[in-house]
Amino acid sequence: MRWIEIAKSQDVVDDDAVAREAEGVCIALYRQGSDLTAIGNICPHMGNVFLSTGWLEDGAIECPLHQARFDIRTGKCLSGPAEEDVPVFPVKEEDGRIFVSLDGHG
Amino acid sequence: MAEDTQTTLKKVWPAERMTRLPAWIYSDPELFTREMDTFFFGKTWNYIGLECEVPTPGSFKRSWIGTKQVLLTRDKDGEIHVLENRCAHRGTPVCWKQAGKAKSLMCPYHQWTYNLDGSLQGLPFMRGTMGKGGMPKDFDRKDHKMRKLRMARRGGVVWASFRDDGPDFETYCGPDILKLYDRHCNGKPLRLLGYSRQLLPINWKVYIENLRDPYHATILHAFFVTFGLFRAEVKLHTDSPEGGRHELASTQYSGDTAKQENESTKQMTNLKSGLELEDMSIVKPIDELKDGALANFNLFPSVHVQQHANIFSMRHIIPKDVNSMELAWTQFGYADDDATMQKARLKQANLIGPAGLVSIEDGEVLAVLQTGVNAYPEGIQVLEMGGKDVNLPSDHYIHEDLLRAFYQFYRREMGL
Repeated sequence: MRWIEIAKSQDVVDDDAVAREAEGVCIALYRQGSDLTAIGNICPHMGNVFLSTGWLEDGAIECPLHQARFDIRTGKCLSGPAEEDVPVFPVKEEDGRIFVSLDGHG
Repeated sequence: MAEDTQTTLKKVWPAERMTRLPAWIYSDPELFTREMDTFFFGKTWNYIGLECEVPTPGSFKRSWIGTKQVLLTRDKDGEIHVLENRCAHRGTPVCWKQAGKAKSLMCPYHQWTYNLDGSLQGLPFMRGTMGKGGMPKDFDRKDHKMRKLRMARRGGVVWASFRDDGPDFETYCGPDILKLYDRHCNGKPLRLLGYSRQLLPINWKVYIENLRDPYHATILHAFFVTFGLFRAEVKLHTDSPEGGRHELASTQYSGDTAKQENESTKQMTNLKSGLELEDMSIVKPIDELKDGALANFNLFPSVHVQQHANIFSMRHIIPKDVNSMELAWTQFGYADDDATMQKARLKQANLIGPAGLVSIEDGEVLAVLQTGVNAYPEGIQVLEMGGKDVNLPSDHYIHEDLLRAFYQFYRREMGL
């Protein structure tokens, strides 16, 4: 698996979304206690909106434009108007640095 | 010298109420506003479109009820709706296209986005940004939607009403209109053939009158007479059912009527004889309804439903302001028409529309009429052809009973 460094551990804290880009792919990082997750950061509904600029509550990120909601651990779309999920990326944390892998997300 | 000038004109109906029409009714903006409230936005049913214009989930078509824009939509579950084309936020028309297909409808101003059933999907920055702004906590998207209108569907045609307390669609039409309605909009799936649209610089009532005026048909429309489609000696059944509200006309046609000349056609045309159509098939219909009849009706206020030979059309009457209206023609046939029938319908459709061989004359003469009534609002018009009261039904062309019936109804509804 090929890992790409995209953030420092201290940048990603509870109750916040951190927007990053890895080789052109927009990714948002989320931390909930011991869980660190990385999911796609573009709302699949319309308008190329960064989900990270939306509303984070109860483990879901809500798009600021039309309120589609996505689970920040699974990327699953929880409520409309979007009809697709956002991708989930493998993520690891080592020596104060955060890495993701784009393997399988060509 | 005339007693009334344009500034002191008393806006009253002349004493001979049945047989006189005051010209100010075609140019008074206040009256126009009252007509919109009384008729188009009142306890009436208005033409919206055909179900076949929104064939699949996501289809939409823009339409009008008087001066108000509405949308005909088919939602993701296949249900048909009629919505006010008005954003719940600031009132902007949400949809700016005539027709199309979409997963959602987005207002261009602030991008409030709606499902095709009118419910609000979402709006930008509902939660504010960087912890600031946004809607109050008690803002609920369910409370803000595009208003859905009361709707009726019959024979593949969609109707709507702004009022929830009016009669149902069938009661509104009455039995005489329904009989003609069901004759060709009979439940067989319809097929859209095309549109034409024209802006007419006329008060909308001038067009309603034209539809109710058989007197002009054989005089103005030389094409009809020259090629034997209309003849004054053929019986024309007309009536104005539901107390003058609607209007209907039907006549019998036989395939060999076309191009039969006789004394009466010669008297009625001032064109040289000897004119010939290169292609007579345009005036030789196929008797598809098996009753040899031509039937038309005005389902007041918004549409003239036409079956002329194999032409099926909806003439949608869309008032814009006191002296302009749009006339939107929708041509249709049946989904199971074969190529021959479809070609016959399209060919005959050359008679109607903005540049139609027949309809072109109405558009022109009515536009000129409007300049006359605008300039002389104090003028009084006379309606005595066929008598001084209403004798309906009638079986001939040379009368104005349908106009007297209409204005009797109009004065009653408008309190004039």
